[in-house]
Amino acid sequence: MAYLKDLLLGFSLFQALPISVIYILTAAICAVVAIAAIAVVALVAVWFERKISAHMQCRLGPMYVGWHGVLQTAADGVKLFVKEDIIPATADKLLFILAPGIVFVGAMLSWVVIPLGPKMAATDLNIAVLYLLATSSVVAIGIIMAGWASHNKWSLYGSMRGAAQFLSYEIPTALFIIPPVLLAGSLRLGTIVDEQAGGFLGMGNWYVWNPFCLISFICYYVSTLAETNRIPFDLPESESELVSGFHVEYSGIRFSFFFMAEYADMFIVSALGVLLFLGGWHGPFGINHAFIYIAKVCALLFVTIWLRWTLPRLRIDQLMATCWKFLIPLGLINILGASFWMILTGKV
Amino acid sequence: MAIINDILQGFLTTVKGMIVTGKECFVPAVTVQYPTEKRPIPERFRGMLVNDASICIACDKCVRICPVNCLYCEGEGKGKARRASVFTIDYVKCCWCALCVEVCPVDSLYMSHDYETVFTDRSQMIRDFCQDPIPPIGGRQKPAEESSDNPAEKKEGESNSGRAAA
Repeated sequence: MAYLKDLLLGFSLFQALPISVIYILTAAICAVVAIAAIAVVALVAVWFERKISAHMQCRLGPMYVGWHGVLQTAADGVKLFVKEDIIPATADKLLFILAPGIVFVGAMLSWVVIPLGPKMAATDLNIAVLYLLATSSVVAIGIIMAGWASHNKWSLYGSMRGAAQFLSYEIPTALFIIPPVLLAGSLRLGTIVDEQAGGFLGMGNWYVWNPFCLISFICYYVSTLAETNRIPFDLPESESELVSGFHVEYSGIRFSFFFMAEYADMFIVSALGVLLFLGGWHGPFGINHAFIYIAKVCALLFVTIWLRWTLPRLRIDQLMATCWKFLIPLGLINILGASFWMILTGKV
Repeated sequence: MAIINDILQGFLTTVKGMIVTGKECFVPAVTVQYPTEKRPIPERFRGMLVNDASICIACDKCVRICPVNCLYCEGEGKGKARRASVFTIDYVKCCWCALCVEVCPVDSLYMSHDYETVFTDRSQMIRDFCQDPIPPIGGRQKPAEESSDNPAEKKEGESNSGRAAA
């Protein structure tokens, strides 16, 4: 944002304006970029998911709209936009209308710190990791609101499961993010990425090669699957038991908000995984480019989708046991291990 | 140790499953893009029933054998000159049993290869073959004419949409 502000001030036209207007302008530009990024990411991710799932099931998937159906999601978006907006008669109208907005805002807030490439974040906050952990919980509020306001027992079941799941899995996610933060000695994403530059073939310093960070990476990935509602942890919207959980009463544009937020969240957790463990935009042989970063994020997205079409759904008790009996103790031991590693290698 | 073993087993079985689904990714699609691409139809496929009114002798055998009364026939002329003047099929009622095809002495009735039986109105599902004589797409397959062993000839017979084209 500071970079953009300086860029704007470089034009003589903008120098005449008061500085407050410049700040509002830069904020507006960043917001528009964030919304556009969410829309594009959701568009591509949904297409990606549909094509991969189709090929794993020996089908073709969407083929008609655009090259191999690449514009299918856009067409579906237009369809959802013009559909009738239905609010159930017994629903709590205010909460019902607010809920998709809150979920969407929760996804959008993360884009403040998630970069799209080197120097391409809205702002490089010095507490970015902490900020991300805080904002990712906003989605849970939206989901509980949606389930409660729908006045539907399936929605309520879904949102209660969602609340239990999100709040439980916040803890292991935070615990497994700590080792790379310890190693980098900073909560700023830019610093964490820069610490991973260089090494063997330009990849040797990625945190994922550190044994404790490797455990962290795998377990972080598992916890984020739960946090983004993905199979095998998609209990809040399990289609077979709860029809589709918390958003069963939503249709049209409100539903598409939930849908977009879900895929934007997927992208955010994959991006955070890449930034923390896989060296961000530092590619092999010292190549640094936004495309390398995006390619890594897409690879993680692919694994997420791959897992979805491989594993069945867990029971709720298995889900909770995984979190409380396995991931949290392991996370605490892992932090201890990473701290000792730092002492032994003389980083402290 | 049991818990570590469980974790390792869980991890390994997940990877095993992912290898299976990953391999499936490269298996060519078994589906076809239906409206633009169609599967070949078996030779004896029973599509919509059609009648070639130009050779129908209005003998009424089909009307009598029809178990659901979907056929209606009126004839004109005497002896060899007798031809159908009205011959209607009600596709709402037709049960695709092909009993009428079996009894037809001149093979004017046959099951076409047309299976896209979508109409917007019930009245459209009643077809008069004297008013509207062209058989639908798909063509007739008359065992006597098209039971050739050469598959190329069979294909040609299918693409020519029936006797009306010939």
